[in-house]
Amino acid sequence: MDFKTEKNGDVMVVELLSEALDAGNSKGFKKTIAPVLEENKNIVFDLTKVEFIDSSGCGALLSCLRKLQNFKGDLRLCGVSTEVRTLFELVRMHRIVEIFDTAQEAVNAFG
Amino acid sequence: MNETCIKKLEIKSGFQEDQLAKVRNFVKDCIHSAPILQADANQIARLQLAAVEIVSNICRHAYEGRIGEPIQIKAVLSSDEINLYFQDQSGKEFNPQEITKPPEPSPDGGMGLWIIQQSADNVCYYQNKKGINCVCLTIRQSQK
Repeated sequence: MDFKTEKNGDVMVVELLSEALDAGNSKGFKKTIAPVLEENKNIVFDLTKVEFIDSSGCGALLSCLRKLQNFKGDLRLCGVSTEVRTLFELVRMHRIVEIFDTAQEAVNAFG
Repeated sequence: MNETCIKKLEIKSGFQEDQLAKVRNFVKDCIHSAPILQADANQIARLQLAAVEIVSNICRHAYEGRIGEPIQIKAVLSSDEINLYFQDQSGKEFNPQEITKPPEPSPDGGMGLWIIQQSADNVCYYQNKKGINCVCLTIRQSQK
């Protein structure tokens, strides 16, 4: 899973570049994103290019959230497609992670 | 007239070489070529999701992570529903109905069966005399 990072104030915005986050790449994603989680407290994942997420992908996102929360940080999501949002609602993930339409809105919400 | 169309895909267990993308694309192609379907994007996404969860389940639990074992997927498309049959030869039984309430979202997983149940109109499982497992997902034409 490739991603692109861009600092916006104190918040790191990570744009995920693969079309899927699933059982095929979620383990690799957790490994490659680990340094970004260690160096930043507040992170936004921009999922605009991600068309498909499965339960393993949800698990990877939750793993990132837990790591950030352990250090008083937080994770926010943006650019979530209708199909991915349907999955998040199915597993009630939208109650755990805040979701915004745009990266800027997500960044602003960190205050 | 009730036309029926059958399509098949055979893949190997494991998450290498975009196996799951093959499954997603197969489901999408099936729906697009179905005589039915005015399936909307949400139905396509639901069926793709359920299909990927079943294949992942077969790889992890039925074949216990072994790579290269056979997984057959057959789609039977009719004018009012799509049935997807997933077969593995692990001989390990599987109960798609064992989850009855939504699990707490967890980094450790455990959400797959719930997603499978909720993403299809019907899910059934049987094992034939040769020990071949078959899970069937059904999605019906939505009532407009």
